[in-house]
Amino acid sequence: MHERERVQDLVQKYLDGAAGHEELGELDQVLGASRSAAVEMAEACRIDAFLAEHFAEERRTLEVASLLEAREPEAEAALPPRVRRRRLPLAGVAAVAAAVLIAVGALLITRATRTSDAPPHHTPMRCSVVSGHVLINGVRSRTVPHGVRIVVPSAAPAVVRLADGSRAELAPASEAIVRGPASGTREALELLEGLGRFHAARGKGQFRVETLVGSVTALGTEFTVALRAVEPRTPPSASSTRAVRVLAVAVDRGTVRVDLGSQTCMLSAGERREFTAGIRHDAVCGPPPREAEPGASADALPPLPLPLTPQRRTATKHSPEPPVVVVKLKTASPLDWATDPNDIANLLAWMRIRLPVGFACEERTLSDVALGSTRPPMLYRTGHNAFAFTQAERARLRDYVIEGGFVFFDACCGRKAFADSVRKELAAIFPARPLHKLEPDHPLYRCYYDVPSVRYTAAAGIAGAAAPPLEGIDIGCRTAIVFSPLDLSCGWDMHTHATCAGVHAEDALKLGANLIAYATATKAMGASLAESRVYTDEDPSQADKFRIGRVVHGGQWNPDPAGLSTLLDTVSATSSMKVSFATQPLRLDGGQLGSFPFLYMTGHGDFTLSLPEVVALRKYLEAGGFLLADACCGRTAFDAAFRREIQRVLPIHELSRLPATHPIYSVHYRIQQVGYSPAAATQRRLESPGPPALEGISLGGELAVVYSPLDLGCGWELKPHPYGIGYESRDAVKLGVNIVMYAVTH
Amino acid sequence: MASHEQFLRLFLQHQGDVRAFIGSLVRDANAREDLFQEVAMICWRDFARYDPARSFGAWARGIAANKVKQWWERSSRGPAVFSPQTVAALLDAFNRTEHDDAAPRLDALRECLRELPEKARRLLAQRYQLLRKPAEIAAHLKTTRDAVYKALARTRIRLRDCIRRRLALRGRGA
Repeated sequence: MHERERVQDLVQKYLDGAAGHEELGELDQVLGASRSAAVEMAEACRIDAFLAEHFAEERRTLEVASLLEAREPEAEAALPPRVRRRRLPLAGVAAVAAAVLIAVGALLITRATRTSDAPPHHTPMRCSVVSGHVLINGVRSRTVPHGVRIVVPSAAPAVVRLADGSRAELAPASEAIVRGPASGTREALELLEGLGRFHAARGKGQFRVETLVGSVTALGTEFTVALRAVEPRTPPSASSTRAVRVLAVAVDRGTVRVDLGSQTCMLSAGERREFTAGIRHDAVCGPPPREAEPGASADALPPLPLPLTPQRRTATKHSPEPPVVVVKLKTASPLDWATDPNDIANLLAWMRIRLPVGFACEERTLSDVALGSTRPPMLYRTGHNAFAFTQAERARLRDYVIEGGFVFFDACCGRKAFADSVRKELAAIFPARPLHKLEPDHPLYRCYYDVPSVRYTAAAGIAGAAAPPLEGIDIGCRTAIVFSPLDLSCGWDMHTHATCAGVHAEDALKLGANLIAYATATKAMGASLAESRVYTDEDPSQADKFRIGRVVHGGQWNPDPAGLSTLLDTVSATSSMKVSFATQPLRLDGGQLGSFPFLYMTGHGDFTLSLPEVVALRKYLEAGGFLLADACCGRTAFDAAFRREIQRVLPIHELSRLPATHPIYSVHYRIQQVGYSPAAATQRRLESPGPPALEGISLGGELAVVYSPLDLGCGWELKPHPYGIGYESRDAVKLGVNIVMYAVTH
Repeated sequence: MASHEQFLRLFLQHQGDVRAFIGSLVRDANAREDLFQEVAMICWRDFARYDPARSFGAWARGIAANKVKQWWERSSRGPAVFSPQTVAALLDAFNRTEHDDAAPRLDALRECLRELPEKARRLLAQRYQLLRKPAEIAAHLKTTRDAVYKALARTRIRLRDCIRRRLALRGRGA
């Protein structure tokens, strides 16, 4: 092969990752030795980078379109009828939610001070309509003078050639004013409503698109701007009764600057971000602004804090600040934790539109977060890089979680280095509690939105709808730490880029809303469980005691550590039996079953018994042993697993509903009707009061297995369990007392 | 603000070549993007140190070369693919073939893409838009991986030749 062709071949193989070890060595040598080979490589890499950028642009256009399209029904339903009529189809961006403004262009812009109320320019410059038509004061016009409001009335977009040679393609129902040149500005267009695509001509001077939320400035770049005005269906809270305006900016090429009043945000190619009017969008998304030199100007001084109470009776009273629900953890490098600077703010704004809640967020380092009695319900840590907590930080996080806190870790862009660190750190913080994939029936997937499956970005490599990526660590019945090894934060930040391996924005937002709902709902539960007592016998010996074995199985076997001991204390207190109880974790294949007349088994998820465990349990039950099992929180995964495994243990017997006349319902308390937990009412449509639903298996005429597909253990704890599908605490305790009394007396 | 806009103008002008240079040394897409962002941040931070007498592109690529070296040193994916001599040779090649304005080349690329047969365009879309690996494309198109490699290589070389031709026709040189 000719030398040049060989170089070409090596370079092309290298670009597609097809070069083997030897070929890479050869390429290294030839590039180092031959200038023409290095030039060949440079040219090939330019084409490769051009192609990547060009096709990324197409991919982003599709993603933005699909994102907007997917969000349309909800957004549209939330809009008043007048706005809802204004559907804004535009070539390239399919159906878009009403009252959306979109501008695409290659612009060179400076900030301007004019608003739509400013007087029109009286200049001879004219713009012409090259396709479609526009109305000026209700009259069709082929020319567009500066400073005059134009409306695109029909179903077809109108293309306006601006005086500087730029083109504006305006969607039907769009309204705009071409402002013309001003100081330092070659051409400016104010988009009042609707949707447009702009192609700016090359040349000196600047070009600007202004919206009510802010203006978008770019230097020789192409970008998309979307402004959506959404009014909440019902006024959800004092802080969100106004219409919310969301400005979305997607950058196709280069970098843009978004000016939002006093704030400025830089976005570069591939980024898409939404800004909500009235919400602080921290910092700069692209390169950070230079730090002001101390004393350089009055602007360099930090603002004085507002007085806590109005100083005069006439001073404006501010509405109360919404409570801080999430603290986003900062680290040393903004490139690590702040590449999605508006993620949590956008998520909360998105929630405010849809849910009757108003929450706020803060950004702090872990050492700055107060984790005492005023601890926030949720800590949020996202990042790209590998990290390690100090021992003190691990201890703080452990205490925070045990005392009822909730932590969410997000591997931004699906970064493996960060994900590996999360796994390592969580193993160090909770060595006995491994991360586990959240079961499909976990409340996090249904506590506000039903999210049984999600769509993933292209880089995640998961086609179609698939199970959500969340993993967790449980503290008792509560999942206290949740980890997403695939990105949610880019979705919350409402932007897309090629290398983000994560969940599609729409689904990420729904999962985010569920996370916040779950964290706030379980806050009281977590705090309460942290204070729950496990009753222990003063006499540590187990002689002459009724011994109860807590079955240790392959799944999470101890979700209610305090439940059983609280129940046994109640049994001792409420009955005349002089029986002492002793409980002990017990493996079925440990050879000790004979010492335990009563076994208790529970769990959340799937589990499988080994063959020796199956045989040991069968022998135990056939010899007169007693097994009580309940599906903790009414989880269907445990329910299915228990039914499957007990069938293996006792293959010729079946679980059957115990009749209302069974002595287990009258051995101590007379139980005919029970109340169900609120979650059982909403999730299983169980109406209180109703009959108890215990099932059982009898061997030789004696009840050997009692199983409750509804939760008992959470009820025994006498603590709030917002997602427990079971009985009301009072009735769970009554049922528990009867079951224990029945086992003791039989 | 003047320096701010000056920086943006220069960076936008040269960012394509910075991306291409990083891409010549690092093939991992995630790492490439991270490195590019890092280089952008450093360029912005150190813009005061930039000597306007020098090429901005060469300055930015020099920063990129250092960042790539650091990345190689801390990367768990084994040693650097290329020797320091090769990195220097590539830097030199990019500097010697640098174009002040990338826009004509991008325009030419778009025109050349339009001229490509539909089959070749679809192949590029599979590789660059759907971010599929050649093996995945081969499975999708029910062909061999080698055939995909060769087709991709042919298409890129065809595009390169087309761009050169168009730029030459415009009198801007390839």
